[in-house]
Parts: sequence; structure tokens; C-alpha cells
Amino acid sequence: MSQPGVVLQLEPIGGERLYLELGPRELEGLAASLAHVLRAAGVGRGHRLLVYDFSTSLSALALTRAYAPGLPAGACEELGCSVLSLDGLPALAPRTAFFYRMMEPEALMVRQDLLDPLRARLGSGGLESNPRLRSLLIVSREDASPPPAVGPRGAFRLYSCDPALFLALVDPAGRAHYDRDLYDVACEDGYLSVRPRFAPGLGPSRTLLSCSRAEVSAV
Amino acid sequence: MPRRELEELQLRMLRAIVRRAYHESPFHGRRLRARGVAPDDVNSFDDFRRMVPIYTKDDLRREMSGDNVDWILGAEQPISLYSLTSGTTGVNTVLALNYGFLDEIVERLFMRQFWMAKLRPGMTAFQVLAGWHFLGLATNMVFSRMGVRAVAPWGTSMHDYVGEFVESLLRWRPEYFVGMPWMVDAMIEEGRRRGIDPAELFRGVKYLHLAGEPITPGYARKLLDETGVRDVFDAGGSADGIWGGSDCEHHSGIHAWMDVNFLEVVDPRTLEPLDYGERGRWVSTLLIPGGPTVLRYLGDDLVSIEKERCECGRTHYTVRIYDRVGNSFTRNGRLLTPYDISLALEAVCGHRLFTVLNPESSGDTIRLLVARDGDDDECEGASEEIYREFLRRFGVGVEVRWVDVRELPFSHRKLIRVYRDEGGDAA
Repeated sequence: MSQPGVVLQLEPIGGERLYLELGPRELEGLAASLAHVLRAAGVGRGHRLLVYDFSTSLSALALTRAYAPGLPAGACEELGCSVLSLDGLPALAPRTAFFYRMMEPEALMVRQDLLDPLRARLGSGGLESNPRLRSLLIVSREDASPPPAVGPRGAFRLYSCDPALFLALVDPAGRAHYDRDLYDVACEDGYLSVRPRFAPGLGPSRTLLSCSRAEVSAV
Repeated sequence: MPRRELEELQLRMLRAIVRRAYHESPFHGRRLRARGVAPDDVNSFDDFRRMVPIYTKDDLRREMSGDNVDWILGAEQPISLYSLTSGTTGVNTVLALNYGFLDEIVERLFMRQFWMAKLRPGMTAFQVLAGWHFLGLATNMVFSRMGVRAVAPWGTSMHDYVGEFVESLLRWRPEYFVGMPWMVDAMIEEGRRRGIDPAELFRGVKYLHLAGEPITPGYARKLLDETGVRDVFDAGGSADGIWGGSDCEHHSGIHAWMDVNFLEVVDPRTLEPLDYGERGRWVSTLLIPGGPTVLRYLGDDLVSIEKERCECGRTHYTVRIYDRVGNSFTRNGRLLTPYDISLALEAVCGHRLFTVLNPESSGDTIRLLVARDGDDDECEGASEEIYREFLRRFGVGVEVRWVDVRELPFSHRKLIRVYRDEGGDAA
């Protein structure tokens, strides 16, 4: 049997098209990284996770083996959470708001640019209209600053450095949590440079995380 | 397996599903009890049709909530993920799924479908990832199981991302293409805009596996001629009804697996059962336990089930999908869809894009906007032949207005096949 996998086009930033060839090993590593940050954000067994982002986003891709050809088991399989996704289109804010109210997820993962459209659709109740929400993860690729103070509990930023398959959770205090075992890490001009150990074909990439803020999650 | 044995198997599975629905699904159990039906009452297909109530998306929506979505249809626990239907006819509906069920249906339905449509281990296949949709999930799992590598462009199945689709196709040259017909059209258009011939754009692609819109023989021919692929497979079905399939290389309808679904066709108005070959709305019962129980779900498409054995030798029945009920209209007591109109046009001109205008207010005539194929479309002078063809097929005349493709009505760049307005015509 041939090896399955996915040739994934990353979200173009600055007009640059970049593709990653991900086999089971790379996808497993990505899922482990994602499980780490979700766990650090409080996502656990029995939780529902609502995703408002593209299925090609790295933070969504590795959630379940049903999302990525070649992925043996996703982050939610490890954590015991269930997941519902909607595409990351602004036009889908009304539908996402509908399912946010209906499903009352314990965790919400939303692209940074879609947070305000979603909150607007939720009206005066906002994200607080769901009393079960425990974890809000705001996904961004071009911003690793502390998350905005929104939601009933502390929000987190899920920072993704796509070319390195690197995911980190930035907490409200600005500390970054990631799985140190999965990456070779160096400090370069004051910023973290990372290389995934589970993807030998990928070189180091500089992140937007300053070295002083990078902490290994204790979770 | 001979058809008779398949039907015997089907009946055994049907009885088991009724029993399961009665005991495990609060939604179906309540409806059966309200009718006074107990599982042991159903001993034949006729019993089933007579006793088990049909339900619709709206029936389910009225009872489904965030609190009961996991178990209202009797799915085994724990729920691992949810998929949504496309939402074409309103708000999407949610399916609560567990991996045991997903693995089972992928093995028994989708692996057969993709194998029949020539997907093979080791291939590279274009696929826009759609984690929200049942078919998207199933396709990913087929790729994993079969050993297929996906080429996944950034974005989603919207026209805004066609440029990325084209780039991915050119960069990776996959051998297989999974998508929707409009995507191929839009990619061809985008390629031409860049000065790339469709055959060059699709160079390396052997097979197109397309779902989401009915594919007429003329349209398939056009795709074959333009792209140079070896074959075009027409996939169809429903996430709500959890049934689906594809045609085989003989293209005589979509093979629906009789050991996965029990499909019926009913009159769109009376919901009375129709016979093989008659056109009506499909009703699906899923025979695989463990997931959401689908027990006589009434779909929105017009179909017919054909009992003739396909040349490929498969004994399962085939389904012809014509279009959504909302795109249908009546002439001379016959329910017509754009599929029928396309066949008539293709008989004279070959495939053309068109829109039916206000069918309910155009009397006995069928009024069409037809897009010219290029600047100098020879068929524009064939009005008499087209008229005669419509008269022969439908017993009514046709009024054709030839337009530039940009004059056809589009919604989000998707062609509106039947245009209806309240104050007048689009023309």
C-alpha cells in the first residue's frame, strides 16, 4: 500500500505560495503539537470544539484523522474532544453564530480576522451567551502578541508558524506554551527559531515569539 | 450477488434497522410508536413502506437541539465529530458521528465508490479539503485507507480560490481530481484567462470525479474533449440521507449499494411509492447501524431508480439524478428539470450553458437564455431544429434567446439553472 498524505498549500502571506508535503509522520507530529496547545488551553475529554477556520489551516487540519489524509490519529482523538468545523469565510459568521448558540461548545477556535464578525453576529450577548465556553483560541499567523481580552474567560492566541509546522499558545500574560520535545529551538536576533524534529525535510524558521516570552508549557 | 439475494439481504438489514431505530433513536422511536408500529410488524418491503413514516429535514430540525444532537438519531457514543450538510436549501443540518461508524461506511460505501471511479493506491489526487462536510470527511478517509496523496490548495470550494486551484494543479500535476463541475468550468475559464489551454491545464489528470450537480452525457463529453482526461465520473447522493455513489465506466446511472441503503422513489405531491424508472423524490434508509439512524428520509432531488443490469455486471440498482425539486417545473403533465432541457439542446447543438426563464409564467412555451459557445456559434442558426426537438420530446415549443455567457444569471458565480422572479423576466 502506498503511503497516504497531503500536499498542503499554506495560507499565502504576502502573495507567496508555499506547499508542504506531509506524510503520516509529519501529520502525527503536528497533531501532537496541536494536542499540547489545546490541552494547555483547557480542552479535554468530552468537550465540544467549534472551529471557524479553513480546513486547510494547520490548526484545524490535525484535529481528527477524518480531516487529513494520512493522519493516523488527530489531536481530538488524543484528548477525547469532539469537533465541528465551519469554513473560515466572513459570510459564514451567521451560521457559525447559529451553531455556537446551538452546540454551546466548551472550546472555540476562530481565525483572528473572523472574531469580530462572529461577535457582531452574536449580538449583545456576545461570546458570553454560551455559559459552557471555557477556552477561546484566536488563530493567527502574523501576530504572536497576547490575546485581546474577550470572552467570559481568558482567551488565548494560537500562534502558527506554518512553514515550521509550529504551534504555540500565547496566554493573556504573554507567555508562549509549546511542546519543547517536538522542536529544535534557538534564539535568533531575539526571536525564537524553530525546526520540527518530526519533519526532517523542513529547515528552521524564525517565529514572531520573542525569546524572553517563550516558555515550555508545564501541562 | 444476484439481485434477488441482494433484496433478501436488504430486507434483513431493514428489519434490523427498524428495530434499532425503535429502541435506540428517540426521534424515530417516538414516531413509530405514534403510528402504533412495533419492530416485529415490519416483515416485508410493503410493510415498511406502509408503516414507517417518512420524515424531512424540517421534522428533524424541529426536534434537534444542542443537548440532544449526539443521541437523538441513535448514534453510538462517544461522538467524535460532527459534519454539516451543504445547507443549499436553508440552514445546514448536523450529523453526530463516531469513528466506528465512519470507518464502516467508508469501507462499505466510499471505498467501493472511489474504486469504481478508478481511484487507485499510489495516486495523487486534487481535493479541496472540507472538514465540515460529510463527503469531505469520507474522501479524506478513503485517501488514507487506499494510500492516496491529496493535493490540497489553500481555501475552500468558492470561486475566490479558483486561482489557487489552478496553481496547485499546475504545480503538482495530480492524476485524479475530486471536485464539483463548476470548479472544472471555473478553472478552465481561469486557465484561458492566463493563456493556458484546458488540455494543458489538466495534463496528467486521468479522471474527474465530480459531485454536486447533475452531469448530462453532453456535458461529460465536453469535459472529456476540453480537458483530455480519460473519463468523467458522476457522483451523487446526499449527506442528509447518507447515501451516495458514482457511475461506472459505462455511465448508465449512479450505482447505489443495496447493502448500504434502501432507496425508494415517491411521487413529489402525494408521496406515494413509484415504480422503477418513474421520476420522483428519493427516500433513503441507511442500513448500516452505529451512526445517525436514517429511516425513510425524504430528499430534495428528483431521481429515478433503474433496475436494468448495468453492462459492468454490478447487480445493485442504479439511480439517475435529475436536479433539485426546486428546479423542476411541469409541462404537459411531466415534471421537467434543466437536465431534460440540456438533453434536448445537446441533441441539436452539443452542450450549452442555459437558464430556464420563469417556467410557471411562460404558458406552453419553454423560454431559455442560451449562452453562445464562442463568438460565432453555428447553433444560433438552428432555431427550427431546436424547436422541433423540444416539440418532439416535451410536446411544447421553445423560445431561445442567444446571449453572451455573462448575461446568464449567476449567484456567487454559480449558474442559476431555473430563474424565477415575481415581476418579470431576467431577459
